[in-house]
Amino acid sequence: MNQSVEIQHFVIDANVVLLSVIPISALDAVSQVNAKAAQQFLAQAKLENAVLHVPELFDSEVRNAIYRDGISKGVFTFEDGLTLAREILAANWQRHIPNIEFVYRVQQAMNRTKSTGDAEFLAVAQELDCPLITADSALINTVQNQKIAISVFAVTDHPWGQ
Amino acid sequence: MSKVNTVPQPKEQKPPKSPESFRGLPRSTIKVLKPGIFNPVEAIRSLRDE
Repeated sequence: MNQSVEIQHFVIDANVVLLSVIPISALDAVSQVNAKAAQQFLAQAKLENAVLHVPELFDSEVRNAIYRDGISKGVFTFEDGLTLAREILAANWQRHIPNIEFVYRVQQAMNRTKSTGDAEFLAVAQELDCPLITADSALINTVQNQKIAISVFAVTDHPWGQ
Repeated sequence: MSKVNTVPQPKEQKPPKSPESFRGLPRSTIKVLKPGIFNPVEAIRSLRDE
């Protein structure tokens, strides 16, 4: 008898990826708690052959965060920061250009007036009908408070992060 | 000799590729010069609050 194995799909927030890859010693105390969950989640995703999706914005956020909060603050050298960014961006994320109408509608539902960054991740999750995994409690609170019908998990709450 | 109108043949349709599964990403071993200050959640949040 053939048993089909269901492949799981997730949208993964840039913060989860950074938490799982940046050396633990570079992270502040709060981040170190989330870092273990983030790495466990990604390790399980590999084991389960999960497919991890991101909006194209992900690449820009990774490049920016590593330069601004890593290289320019002297956390690591220019060369090491470059290596780190290259390693992250070379992984096989499934990149998407989100549906602009979804992005604007989510942004409006969140009552946001600044960057559409959160909305881009949420729009991809909505379009693919799969959960967004994040380490950002502010994002989760907004989705819950504004009653937005998109599945969002804190990486520490998901079974794969525990 | 009369010309023959040829109808362009549809290109062979390839089945859509199924998305590749995640192959993993190890924690980096790069040297840390200033420990204990990087907060990835704050780093991404501040980009999205601009």
